[in-house]
Amino acid sequence: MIKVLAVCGNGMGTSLVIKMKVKKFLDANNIKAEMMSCALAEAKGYISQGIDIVLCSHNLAKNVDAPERTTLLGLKNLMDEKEFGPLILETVKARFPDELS
Amino acid sequence: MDFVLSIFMGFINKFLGQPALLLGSITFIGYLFLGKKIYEALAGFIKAYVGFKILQVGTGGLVGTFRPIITSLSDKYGITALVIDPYFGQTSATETLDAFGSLQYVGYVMLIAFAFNILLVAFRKQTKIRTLFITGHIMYQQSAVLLWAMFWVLESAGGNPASPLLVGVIGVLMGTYWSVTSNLIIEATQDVTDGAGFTIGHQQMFGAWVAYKLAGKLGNKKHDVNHVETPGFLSILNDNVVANTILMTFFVGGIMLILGKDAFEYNTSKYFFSTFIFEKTALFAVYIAILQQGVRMFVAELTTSFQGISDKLLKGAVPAVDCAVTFGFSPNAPTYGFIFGFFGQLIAIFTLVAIKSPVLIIAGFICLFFDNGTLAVYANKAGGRRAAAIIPFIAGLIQVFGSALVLTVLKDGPAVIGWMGMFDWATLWAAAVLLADKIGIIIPIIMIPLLLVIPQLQYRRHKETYFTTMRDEKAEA
Repeated sequence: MIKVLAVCGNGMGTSLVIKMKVKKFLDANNIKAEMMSCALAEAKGYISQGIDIVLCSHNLAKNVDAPERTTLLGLKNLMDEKEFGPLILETVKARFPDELS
Repeated sequence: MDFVLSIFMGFINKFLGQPALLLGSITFIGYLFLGKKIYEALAGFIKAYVGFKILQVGTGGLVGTFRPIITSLSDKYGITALVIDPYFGQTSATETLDAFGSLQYVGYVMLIAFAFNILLVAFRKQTKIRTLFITGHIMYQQSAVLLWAMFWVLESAGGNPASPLLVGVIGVLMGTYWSVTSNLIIEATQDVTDGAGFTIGHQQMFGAWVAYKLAGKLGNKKHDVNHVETPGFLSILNDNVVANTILMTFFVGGIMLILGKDAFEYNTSKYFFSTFIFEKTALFAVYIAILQQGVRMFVAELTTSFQGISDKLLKGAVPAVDCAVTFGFSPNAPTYGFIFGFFGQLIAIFTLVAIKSPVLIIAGFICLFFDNGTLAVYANKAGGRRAAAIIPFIAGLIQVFGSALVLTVLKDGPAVIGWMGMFDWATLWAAAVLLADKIGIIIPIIMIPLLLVIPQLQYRRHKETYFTTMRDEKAEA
């Protein structure tokens, strides 16, 4: 089970959209994951409790402090599976090969 | 017969008349409709209910913190100071409607609007509407604010709850606005996002469309704002808690200083006046965080069900999503929008002070960052950095003056602390409310067919490619 966090400025709309899109992708690829979303202000708290992958928009990526155990993915098009899909698969393959069935 | 009727009326008042129960039930039914398990639907009901109650803690806290400051300013100087921020608008709306026993109608407005949006897309061959609004937090907010504003100018004088006619008209009008404006901005959004296949369902579609159309005349699209380095310290403004607190300390703290120590009762052995001010102004960030936590909880449930319904009923519809989704395509533009919009708003606010306006406006974070940020993204695409500076600056002036105007007719409500402020709400909706105040309910009624003409005009301009943005249409071709 990996933990994935979607972050946006206010934690209201955008992160929720990423969360739904990414959850659908992970389910389709049989990757077991817990999917969360929050505002930038709360991200530090979530990440410190152990998050494996953080997804957010390009323009916010520099505001997110990700420790070594957390992979930070800054996206251009948050709605596009073709952009986040390969990045997530690559990360899971490299770091959590057991999660791929 | 009387017995049956009293049970029925009891159900209406004590169940459907309770907003939290109503929203919970909508979620529950939506989940069953989507084929979720009964225990999942029950969990959805509970989260929508609890989320709504958390939201009310936040709105109550905002009013409780801000009203005493507004009252003492208005007693001393005859000026009403109000914040332009969607959460302040939403709070004014729900707390005022609640005082008139009409808060539950917000849920009905939202449902009617969403259903009407679905209907318009289903008949897209005739209506030319291609988009479905699924931005849950915006849908709730706008339904609340539009119902409140129209109710206040049209019906509140009688002291009765909102009439079924008004609720119906506002619902259909809201759905028309969602459909027409998100449809209007499709082509521009496709350009901004390199054909990402979504559109914007937010608070400034009309504004972003105007920005995109005007920008080409103001600047050169080759001078992209993303080629410019922006100072690093500005990035702390991306954080809503930090930005809210700084803005409120600056504006509301300023007002409290002007009112002076004696206007407030506080424990002088515990506080300096300055630390007391900071505690008060930081409370805005506290209550907004609580409010958002509540909205997020019930909206997560609602949005999931809306998304599911749209996937089920309307496969090809273009989803209309939050404006910040475009920010990744132009990372510097929101900062530009924020800075130049802030200048515009400041100048407008000082002008209000100078002309001794009865309504003083306080700038809010969301309006500055998300509204002007979005306008800057669209302006930059068509007119580069010059347009991304000029348009948010002008928008800043419009946001303040338009909101101040509409607040002159709304400010006397029992719990009014602000207005939306976003571009479409400072122009289109401000004008609609002012006209409705003068002329009557005919204004919201007549807006429905007028707005519906817009997609017909759009269609005429490029008939061949008009529907190719839609997913299923493309697959068929």
